[in-house]
Amino acid sequence: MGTLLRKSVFNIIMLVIGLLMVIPFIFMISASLKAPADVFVNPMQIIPEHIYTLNYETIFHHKYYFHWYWNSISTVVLTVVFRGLLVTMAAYAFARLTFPGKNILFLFLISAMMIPSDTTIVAKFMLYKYLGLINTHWVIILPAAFDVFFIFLLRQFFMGIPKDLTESALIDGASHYGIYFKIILPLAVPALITMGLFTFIWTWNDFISPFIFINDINKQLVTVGLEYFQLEAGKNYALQMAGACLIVLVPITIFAALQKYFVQGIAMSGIKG
Amino acid sequence: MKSNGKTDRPSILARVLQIGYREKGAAFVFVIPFMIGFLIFNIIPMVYSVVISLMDYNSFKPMNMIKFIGFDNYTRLFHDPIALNAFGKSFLYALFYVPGLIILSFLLAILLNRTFALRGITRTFILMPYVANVVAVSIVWSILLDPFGGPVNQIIAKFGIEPPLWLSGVKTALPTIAGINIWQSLAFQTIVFLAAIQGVNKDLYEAADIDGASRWKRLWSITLPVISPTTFFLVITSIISSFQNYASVRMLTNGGPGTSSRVISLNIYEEAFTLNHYSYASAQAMILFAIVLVITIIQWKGQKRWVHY
Amino acid sequence: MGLKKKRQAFVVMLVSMMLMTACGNTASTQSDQKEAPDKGTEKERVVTVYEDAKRAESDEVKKELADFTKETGIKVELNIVPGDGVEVYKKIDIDMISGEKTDVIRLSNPILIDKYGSNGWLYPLDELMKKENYDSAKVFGKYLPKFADNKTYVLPDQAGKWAVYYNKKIFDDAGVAYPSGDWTWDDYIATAKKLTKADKGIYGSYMLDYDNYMYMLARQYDVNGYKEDGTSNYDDPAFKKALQFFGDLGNVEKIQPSWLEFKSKKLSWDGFMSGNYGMHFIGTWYTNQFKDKKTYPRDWKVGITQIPVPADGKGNNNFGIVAGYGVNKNAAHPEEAYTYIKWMAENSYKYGGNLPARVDLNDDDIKQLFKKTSDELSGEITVEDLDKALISNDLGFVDEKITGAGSTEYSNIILQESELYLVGQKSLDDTVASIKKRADQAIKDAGGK
Repeated sequence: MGTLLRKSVFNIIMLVIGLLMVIPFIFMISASLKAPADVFVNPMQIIPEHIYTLNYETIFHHKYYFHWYWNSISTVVLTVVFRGLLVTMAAYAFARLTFPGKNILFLFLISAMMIPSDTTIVAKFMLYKYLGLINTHWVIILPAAFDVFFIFLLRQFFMGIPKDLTESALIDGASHYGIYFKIILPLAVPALITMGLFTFIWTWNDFISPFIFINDINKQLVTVGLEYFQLEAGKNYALQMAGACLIVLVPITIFAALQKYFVQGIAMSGIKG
Repeated sequence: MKSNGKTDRPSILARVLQIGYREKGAAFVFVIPFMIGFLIFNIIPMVYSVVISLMDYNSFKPMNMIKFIGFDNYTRLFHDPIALNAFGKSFLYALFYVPGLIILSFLLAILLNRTFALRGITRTFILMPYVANVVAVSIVWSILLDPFGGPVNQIIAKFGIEPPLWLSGVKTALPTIAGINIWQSLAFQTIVFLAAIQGVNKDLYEAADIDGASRWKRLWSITLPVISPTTFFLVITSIISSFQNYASVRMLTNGGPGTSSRVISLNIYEEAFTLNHYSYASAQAMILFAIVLVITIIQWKGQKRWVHY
Repeated sequence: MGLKKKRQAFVVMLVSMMLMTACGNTASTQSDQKEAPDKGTEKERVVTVYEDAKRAESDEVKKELADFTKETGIKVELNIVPGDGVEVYKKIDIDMISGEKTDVIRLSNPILIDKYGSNGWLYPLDELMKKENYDSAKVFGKYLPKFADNKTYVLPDQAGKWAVYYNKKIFDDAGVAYPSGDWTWDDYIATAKKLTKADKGIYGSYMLDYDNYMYMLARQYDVNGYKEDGTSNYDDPAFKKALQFFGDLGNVEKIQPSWLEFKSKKLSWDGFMSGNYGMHFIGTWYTNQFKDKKTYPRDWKVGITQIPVPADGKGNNNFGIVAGYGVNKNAAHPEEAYTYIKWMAENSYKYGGNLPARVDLNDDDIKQLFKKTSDELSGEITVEDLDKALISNDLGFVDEKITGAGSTEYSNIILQESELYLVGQKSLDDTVASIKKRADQAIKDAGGK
């Protein structure tokens, strides 16, 4: 009886924590269904008096919104693919192979992670212009592909995979490519999903890069699109919230679908002991 | 490094494949593609920024009128109260953000590790802030924390407490931003902690149970040491990310009121893009980089004391 | 899937990675080629123009551009920049530095005109004007922006003034007579007090967070932001008085949202359109908002009257700013761009409802403009209202902003420091003193004295 009571108290606590985390989203949805002028009037009123769908209609009839949406999806998917390949290769080398200068090179990489990315933006702009990347989606994809953060993360995961697994494969005559593709990558699938997911979210929500590096309105990505809404109708928060709700929809769906898999998965592959 | 550029095509392929059997060679093949891109997209802009920081590119003028002036931009920094204040604010921010984030995400991970009803949906809820767009998040929080009749302060006022000004208060703005950012980035840290906790060998706990260890004792003497590499990773990355908070600060307070939440990342961005002080902004960025580098090296050296691989 | 196949894929990937570095040059030549045909072909003349997202979508600008193309045969391609107000110039700045070729830049205030013109980013128009004997001095007179090298870089398209717009419904509900012009700030405050109904969320007055609100009273007295020797004049008591005056409107008189409320509620530049405010003190560019019933549906009528003046009779001035167009120094089509900015400078007042920056227009032209505005507002504001508020009154005219060396920074410093005073974190004397001190440094750094 006592444990049952404790268990249900615990359940309630967890549910409350969960709800606290989503309250802002509830407000977001609520605001998106209100008339623009009512957003700040009574924010406590979660369910609007009149459901106001014009915000969503405006978006559905918008010239560019779904165009931006598609741009974002294709850019993000390519980023995930490129980053997945490049980062796992390098992380494998840093985690499992010995080569001269490894530690210095690695320290060099993580120290570069500390460069606040906004601060080199003038230099980047000139460089990308020279490379002919400006105003293409590659200007988002390529720089994002060479990401140090996940080398750091995956290196930690790869280091956790037992040495004897790979050593016996080497004795059996496998090359390091074979080990990478046949042993490491399959074991790292959950870690890869994690990386893919976070890459997806970060690229999806990035504002500054598309804002600075992409000029054409029909090549723009969806986050900067939110800014366009803001300007088209003054500071129309209700419309922006409707736009934001639709933007969050894709990552949340993917997140919800994959979360169980990758939370358990990281543990399986990463730090198995 | 050795190069095989002069040989014929098929033999390059063969060699590359052959290299895969040697550890050093394979490492070279694995690391080189990344390093090339890394040089282009990270190091060249960085070096270029260093060059800019040594020039007098502090007004909106064409490139051909720009001269080298050495370290003037760096010395100027030490006489600039706004920039110094901004560095101070960034440290203060890190003091709120990093411990708050690490402690809360660890606690949350421990709670999530247990089984309970609706675990899946609760977990999804907790992870949701992470996917939200920063523009949307800041608008929602501005509504919630509105000192003039916002929902949060309405509730606080019911308890007879003087409600804080949150983002509009000189003393509260920075901690409030830190709180909102913790709320938003909690998911990532929690997942990584959760993974680490789930990876702790069950035998260790069983052995402790036989010894009759309490739950706290188990947490303290088994879980924490075993997951210390993960903690180390999270501490380092969250310190680094605490200095890169431009977007959220910009959207929430834009450094205000006055300069009370003007952190260094915002200051650098404003110097460069509002005032066209490209060189001076680059110099500030380099100083910031140096500071973060030193902090990280200190941590790296100090990890032996508490990180157990 | 054999290991061999994967190996091959891997190698292909690797090689393509190597090639990518070499690809850079090819890609950039391709983009150059793309721009080349515009120059060579005579058939279709094109001009490329920066516009912000809000303006690009507005009906006036669309109509304006269509008419321009109809008259001149030059096609307009917009380079739309996201961002609010001066935000867009952050991006245009970077574009300039990297040699972007977009032809025309709209410069929406004198600080920007000075920044682009004085730093060599604009194309001098003198030769093009000489070629067709265009006398810009005769057309634009005192509104033509001047530069140190005596060249013409910018043609002005508007010389806005300030006015008070009021919500007739709120006046009627409170039983207060409409303002009839010729009034002092004391009258303004008294009127606003009668209109303010805190319990219904109605304020009698509305003002924004622009820098010039912080010192509007000083400008009305025509006190300069710079001293003779080039240093900041913010230690002049007029600036202290002006800041205190502005702060009191929200904090003491409580006739408008205090700074704290404005910022934490994120009230916006178009807040007056919500119908919760009695009067709005703002520039005449704001007239456009009342025409736009699609974005701002409203059940109230708007009125306009002249700006209040200080009671001592020493500051009987209205103020305003000049905005205009410049041609990018690296413009791909300078001649088309010149045609464009000339056309805009001469005609854009017919579309936007702003006051023109032309001195060659006669009273009838202005009356016609007012007539059109009045018609578009279905007579809510009459020609006489506009004339009385903006022209036929005994007010002088001064510049709205502080312009000179380091003015962008000066403006930022004023906003940052004043904010601390407005939220009660810094005393008035300390605030003004630190504005003076920091502005002096900024002016020195900018190459002033």
